[in-house]
Amino acid sequence: MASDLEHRPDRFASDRRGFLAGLGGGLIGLGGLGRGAWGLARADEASDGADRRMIVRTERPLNLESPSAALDSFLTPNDAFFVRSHHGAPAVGLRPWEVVVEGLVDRPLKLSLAELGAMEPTTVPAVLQCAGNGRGLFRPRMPGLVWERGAVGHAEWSGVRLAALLEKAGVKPEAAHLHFIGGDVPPTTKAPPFIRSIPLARAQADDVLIALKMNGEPLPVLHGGPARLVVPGWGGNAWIKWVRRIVVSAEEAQTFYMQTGYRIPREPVPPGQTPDPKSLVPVEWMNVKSLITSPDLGATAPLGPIEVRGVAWTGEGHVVKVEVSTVEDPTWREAELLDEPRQGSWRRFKIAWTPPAAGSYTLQARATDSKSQVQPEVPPWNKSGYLWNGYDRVPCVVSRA
Amino acid sequence: MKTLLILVTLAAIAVAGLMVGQRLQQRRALAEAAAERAHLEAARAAAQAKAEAAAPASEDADDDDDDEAAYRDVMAKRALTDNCLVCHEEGMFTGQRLTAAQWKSEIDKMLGWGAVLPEADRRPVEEYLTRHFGEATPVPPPGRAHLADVPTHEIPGDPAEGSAGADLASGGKLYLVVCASCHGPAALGTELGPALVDRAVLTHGEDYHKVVREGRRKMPAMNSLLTADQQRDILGWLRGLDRDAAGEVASK
Ligand code: HEC
Ligand code: HEC
Repeated sequence: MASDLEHRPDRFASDRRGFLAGLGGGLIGLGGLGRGAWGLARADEASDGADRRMIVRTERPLNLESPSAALDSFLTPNDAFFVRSHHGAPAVGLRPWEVVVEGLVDRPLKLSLAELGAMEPTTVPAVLQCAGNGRGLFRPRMPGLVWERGAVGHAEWSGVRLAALLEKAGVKPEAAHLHFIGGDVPPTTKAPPFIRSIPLARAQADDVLIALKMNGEPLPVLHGGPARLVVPGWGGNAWIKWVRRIVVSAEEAQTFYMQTGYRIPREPVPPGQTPDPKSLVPVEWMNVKSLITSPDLGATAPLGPIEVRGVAWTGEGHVVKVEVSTVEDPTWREAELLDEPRQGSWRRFKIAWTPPAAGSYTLQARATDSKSQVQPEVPPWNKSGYLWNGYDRVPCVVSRA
Repeated sequence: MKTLLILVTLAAIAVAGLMVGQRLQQRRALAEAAAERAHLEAARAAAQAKAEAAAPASEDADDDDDDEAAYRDVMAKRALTDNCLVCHEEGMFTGQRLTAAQWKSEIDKMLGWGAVLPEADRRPVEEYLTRHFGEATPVPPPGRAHLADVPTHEIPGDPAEGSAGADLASGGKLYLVVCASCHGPAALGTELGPALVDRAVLTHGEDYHKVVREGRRKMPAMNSLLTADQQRDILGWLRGLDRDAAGEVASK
């Protein structure tokens, strides 16, 4: 059967046959369309035994989640960073990339990458998290990619301050929103293009960039290269990839991904309920959240002190406290915080935990930020599954020493 | 006068294109219908054989129900493969766990975005998705791979490979005649075929040539219709197509 699956190396081929073979054979593989066994662990796996391979949500378009073990550092390496694409990456390289600034401006701009690169560079460490990270943990479930814990990462983004571009173009007084037109092409003219807007006030802040680099490397195409928007503290929905055109406007973008997608109730609604669309607001600032990066999910450790490590971040402000306990003994203990408190950036934490006896445990962590937001055990349900920030929980097994 | 001539020529090409497109679709539809009949016959025969093997003596009503369900599954899977893999892989739906009402509204959403699903397949597809990917279906562990091993074609390849020496004018004309009826005059996609302009596939010459040569699902194989050079000319033209300029032409 001819399909897009046939380019894959053999070790990827077998597990998808459930679906395709089922079509030919008629009766086999019903319901068994999963892809459980993607080959064996590779020899280059780290010595702690943690599996650092990316979690493949979909290949076309490409959506990859980082396993928490791959997030156990201050900066997330580019090739371990989660990938979210709505319509798939555009054909970067067919013609020189340009970024246009137009609309309510005195001097419309059309800048080549070389011209952008020649402007004063700024570098900002910031957490990029998909608004839907954790969607798979909400009940009842909702449609959308079933991200669990790892649609998040932390990188050093370098590029041009958006404010500098806006100064160059001269923003007219009636301007209030910036529309960003991404380079990804919807599959048909009926499918919505990925266009969203951010308010001018946020766009003019010092930390908002058109990034050309990620962790010192040219921004990879999978992460929005050659040019993407960086809005520290805001959900990934605002970090438009493949920026081609910026239109300065008096209004919010009236597009699907602005008016229907990425909206959340201002006030919590009961689970399962769809509120009046007028009561929805765009997802902007992230909420406070922590993630345990070691031990790994389901890890086994010998009885004795165990180092529990992780990372924590928030939207506005910065993380001031992370506490760790177990579901079995929910007495919270404060972890040591590393790294500078800085808006948009994450802080690592660590704490020694000595289990009382061998057995099965579930570690849990919760963070608190400088605005006194505390990570809840379970966040309010919303119909699109945005901004999950329930306690992070990691089951593990303690064996007799 | 000159513009009139050009317009007339373009119109003629467009009409010819529509006809070729339609003929291709008809031929394809006929072949598909025949294949489907053969396929369903085979499935029915297999189901019957299985039922007979399992219960040689009694005509158990339960077995009949099972056969009926299996048969409906085959039809639904076929409809999903034909119609739902144009824009994304099957993981986009097999990864979800939704109620009947949620599946119904997902399908409405997809149809609104340019998917097609024959009316007769709608119910079977909704029921199939709800039965196999409903709220209570366990979620198998996801696939795992290092980035370098993921067979993605979204990382751009060589934007010049496979189109050296292309005759762009010829490519443009051929595109309008042979491809535009499904992929749209500006290659921005229609219900019959996905967008091509500025899509990553254009930077992977090998992928492009394979799909165009051999076809894929509802994309007809072009090898009997176009020479390798003509397929290359079209690639060269598509690569040079400016999406903004093309979009403007299309919207006029
Ligand atoms: C014309 C292109 C196209 C076709 C054909 C298509 N889809 Fe989609 N589908 C999309 C796009 C675009 C998305 C959204 C991708 C994103 O935003 O991540 C999507 C997403 C989805 C999702 C994820 C949930 C969501 O709403 O984002 C499901 C489930 C889905 N499609 C099911 C189907 C089914 C079933 C069919 C066949 C009836 C189908 N699709 C056919 C374009 C298409
Ligand atoms: C009868 C309608 C039809 C015609 C005519 C047609 N295509 Fe397609 N084409 C499709 C469909 C449908 C697909 C998606 C197939 C799938 O993956 O299910 C497709 C897919 C493709 C792809 C792969 C896209 C990708 O992103 O992987 C390329 C390349 C392509 N077509 C090129 C062409 C060219 C070039 C022509 C003219 C020579 C052409 N097509 C004519 C319907 C058509």
